[in-house]
Amino acid sequence: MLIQESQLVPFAALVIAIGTFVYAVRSKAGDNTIHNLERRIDELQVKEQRCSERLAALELLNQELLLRLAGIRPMGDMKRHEPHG
Amino acid sequence: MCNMGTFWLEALRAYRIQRISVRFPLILKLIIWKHLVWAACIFFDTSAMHITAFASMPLSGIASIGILVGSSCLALVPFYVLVSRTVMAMLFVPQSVLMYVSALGALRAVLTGTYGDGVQHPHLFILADQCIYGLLAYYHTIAVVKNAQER
Repeated sequence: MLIQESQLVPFAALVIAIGTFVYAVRSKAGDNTIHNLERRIDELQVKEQRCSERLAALELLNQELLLRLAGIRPMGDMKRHEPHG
Repeated sequence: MCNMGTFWLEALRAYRIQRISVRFPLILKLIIWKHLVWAACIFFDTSAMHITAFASMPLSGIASIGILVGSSCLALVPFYVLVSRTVMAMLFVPQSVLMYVSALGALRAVLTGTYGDGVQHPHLFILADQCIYGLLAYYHTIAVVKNAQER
């Protein structure tokens, strides 16, 4: 026999636990409750905030790159290349 | 120098993440404590491994303690770290296995009329004594599924 009698209970428990896991992951039952929707709105707001921060940083980078393409050195570079004395 | 704008932004973000974090059902707290008490009892006296609810696990003392403490620690993670639905359900699997082992061990004891340590009693005596493990497994399953669905 593949499974010994002493291992039958843990094996059955494992099978039921995996079944519960699959049901919990795939079930759509609680998806549209108000609590869940509020939570998802909160999550999306946090993500939106992070994305807008990243977008602002990328826009700054873009401006700097455009200036470089146009042959104008950004302020930081000009300061760096100022002659000493 | 402390930037006040960044400070308030971070505070707002922390508050939102706190709202995102899941509720901690009482049944899960109870089960975590139960497993930790079992682990402590097995640590001080290995005969505690032969209780009916745990006798079906074919493990040594150290492995039993490791599994009991490990499953409790894993079950605590989703309440302090933001995880996805799949990861959350996965973190509860070890605790679920232990709950079903207890429930099935209790069922076997009721059907055979024998406790895990070999003591014999009437079926209804054992049912009255051990029915709590079946109920705990049932409500644990509901709590886990509901928590995962809310992610």
